[in-house]
Amino acid sequence: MSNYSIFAVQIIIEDSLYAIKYKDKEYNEFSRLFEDWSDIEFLESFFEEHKQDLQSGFYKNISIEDAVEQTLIEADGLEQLIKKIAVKGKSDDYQNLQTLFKPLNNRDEYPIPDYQKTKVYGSARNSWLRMYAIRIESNTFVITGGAIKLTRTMNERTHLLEELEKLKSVKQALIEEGIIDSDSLIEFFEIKRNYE
Amino acid sequence: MSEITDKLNSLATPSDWIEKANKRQGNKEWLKHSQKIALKVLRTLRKEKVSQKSLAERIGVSPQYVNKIVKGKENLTLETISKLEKALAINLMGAL
Repeated sequence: MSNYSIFAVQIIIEDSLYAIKYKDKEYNEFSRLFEDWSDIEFLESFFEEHKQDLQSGFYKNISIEDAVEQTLIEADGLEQLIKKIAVKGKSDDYQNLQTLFKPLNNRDEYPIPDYQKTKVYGSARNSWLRMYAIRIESNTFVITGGAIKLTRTMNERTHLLEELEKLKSVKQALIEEGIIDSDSLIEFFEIKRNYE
Repeated sequence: MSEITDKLNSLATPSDWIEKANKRQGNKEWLKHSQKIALKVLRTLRKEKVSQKSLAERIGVSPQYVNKIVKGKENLTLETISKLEKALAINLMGAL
């Protein structure tokens, strides 16, 4: 597992959304994801590598070409949505980001801890786009990474486990930087999102 | 703003993601064509077991340029598209 050293924090939406830029990476994770999700070479290579997941039956044996096309459409939609939130103004940020980001795992019986891993679904149904973030306050998120998730759980794939590692590393780094001062238990919640 | 956000803001720097997003949106129409071409080229290279380097030699460009083409973000000339069609024996213009 790589060592994810934080190089910088960059602003996506002031006071609401931030993204980590890791050492030796050209882009912050937010920008990097949209670069990758519009990069045909990246997508073709990814879906070729994970061909078996596409053919597992869950996705009705979708072709690699269709998988690439679907990703392009969903990524474009997601980027436009976040841009809309960004330009809409501060009063709406909280409402919209709270709808966009949901806890990684859903356990209703426990109160939501202050620091959770949260992620975004690309669309309401069957979207495989993910963005992972730590919520450091009720309306402030720090994106640590993202991925195309083709399996039911994150534990099943290396690239998804790496995203979990990034969440943990960033949480630790934020504690060490004195940004967050508690070592709360992180819980996982399941999420869904609707495109408007 | 709160203390936590203040601390984060003291570390954070701006990013140019909105400019990039606007550029993607502004170039959406021709980017779609570029993406379609890139995908067809990549799938052909994979199927025929031809390397990007080999394709570069065939069409008389650098491997770096072929790598740009296959990312699907390049505003290709008609000449380049025709060379790709000839080199790979595929139809790209008709597929747009």
